Amino acid sequence: MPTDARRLAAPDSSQDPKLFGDIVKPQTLLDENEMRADGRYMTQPRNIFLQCGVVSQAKGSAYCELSKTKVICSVYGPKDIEMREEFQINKGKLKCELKYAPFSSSKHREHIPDAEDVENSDILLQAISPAVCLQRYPKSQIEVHVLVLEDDGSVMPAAITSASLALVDAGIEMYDVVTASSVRVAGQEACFIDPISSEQFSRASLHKSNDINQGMVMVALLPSINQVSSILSVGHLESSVLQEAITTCTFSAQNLHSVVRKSIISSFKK
Amino acid sequence: MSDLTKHIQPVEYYKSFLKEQVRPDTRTLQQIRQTTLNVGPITSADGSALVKIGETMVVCGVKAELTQPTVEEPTKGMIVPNLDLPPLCSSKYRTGPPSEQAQIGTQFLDNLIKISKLVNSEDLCVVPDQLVWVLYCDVICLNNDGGVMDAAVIAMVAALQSVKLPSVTMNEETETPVTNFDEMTPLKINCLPVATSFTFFERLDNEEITSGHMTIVTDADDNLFLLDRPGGSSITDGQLDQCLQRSFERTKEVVKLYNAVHSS
Repeated sequence: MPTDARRLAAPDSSQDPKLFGDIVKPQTLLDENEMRADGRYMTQPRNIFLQCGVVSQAKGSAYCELSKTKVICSVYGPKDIEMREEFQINKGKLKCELKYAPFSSSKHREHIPDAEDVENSDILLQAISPAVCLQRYPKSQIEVHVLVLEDDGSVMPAAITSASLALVDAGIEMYDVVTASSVRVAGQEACFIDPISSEQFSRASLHKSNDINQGMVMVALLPSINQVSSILSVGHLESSVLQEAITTCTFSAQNLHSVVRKSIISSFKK
Repeated sequence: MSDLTKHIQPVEYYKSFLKEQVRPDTRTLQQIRQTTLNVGPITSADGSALVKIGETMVVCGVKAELTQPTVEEPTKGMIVPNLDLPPLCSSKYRTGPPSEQAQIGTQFLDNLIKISKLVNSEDLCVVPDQLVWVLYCDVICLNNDGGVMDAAVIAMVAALQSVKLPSVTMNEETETPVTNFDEMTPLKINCLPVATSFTFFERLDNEEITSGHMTIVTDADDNLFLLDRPGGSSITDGQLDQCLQRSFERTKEVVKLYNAVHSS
């Protein structure tokens, strides 16, 4: 384990007390009444809460809550590119950072970003950069910082939606906002919209079911111009199932547009 | 006065307000911004609190995990505080290792826990020499509009106050711990410290707007735990008395807040 001289010494290893609790029986995704673990139908997303302007120090900011999943995002810039960094003369640079708070998951997270954090930051960058008019900000950079306060599934869609909302709040010129949605595919006919932690795809779930179609699909969408900015698929999916999942995601992301629009309008009314 | 003066002549701008004994945000010199405390916003943490002092916003989450005690102190659990000032909260900070201010803040919280004996570390012992609790107190600033340490102390104390630990027993045969989540015991907190920060404006003819700050940590029983005054211009006995007086008053207000939130 890497030692960190800039933080207080913590024990080398510690275990989550839940590991030593009663063994919980693995739940099925749907119970006998066709209901999910949190009382939703298969195609029902969670209620979303969006708010602009939560961080007064930032140029723009947004907070997104999907039931227990909580994400806060702030945007700084456009500002000068830092010394010794690469820049393009005719185009601005978008920098994205996605971080999980140490207390956001069931196990205490390390402070030093791991490979997963770097990957997530990159997914976020790829999803939102097509929406930003970067040619309007030559030789400057725009910073997007996302902090996951609590992770109960569908973090990336929440991060992408709140990041685009924060960019709007910062007054950055954009082609469109970005909304995102994810589904968990468990079998040919089963698309679970907006999965919670226990419903998310893991490698273990590949072997549990007879149906080989197991995975997660996330789509980021520019809803007004109806263009997809990013698709992410993990797991094993047949192409027809993948197409079906993408359609479901796109539809669900399109539905978010009105919520995003409302929160932008209400932030201007203030 | 226009916003332009604020940026071009910040010293003149402040001076003109201070002459009238008010601050640009309409507060008087001794007035503290409105403080709100929300306990338990993060359900993945074992204890959590969100504190707002004016626009400053700080969240603290406590994660309790099991670990082996150190050889030196086999009957003592551990509390590991950490203050994070991410680039999200202000343009002053950059991505990467913790800034100097964050390190100083972390050390401040650690000193406070040890000096005030906030939690008996023996209470965190499960089986001596084998198993103890470690409480990770991660304080993250979400919006830095000044007074972060005041908010951080309130957040950390309130989060620790809301921690409930499951009962743990050792299985003698397999030598593995067994946790029972049906039996939860609240963590015992020995005192309720509150930090109050002051900034001094003295040599206003200088280019600097402020001439140092001071943070005082006290509790409702009039105990003085910490007085942090790093450098700056000299202050008189009268000023020190005034600040102490004010921080004792402030502590009583915030302790009411702790109790109201804790009992609800």
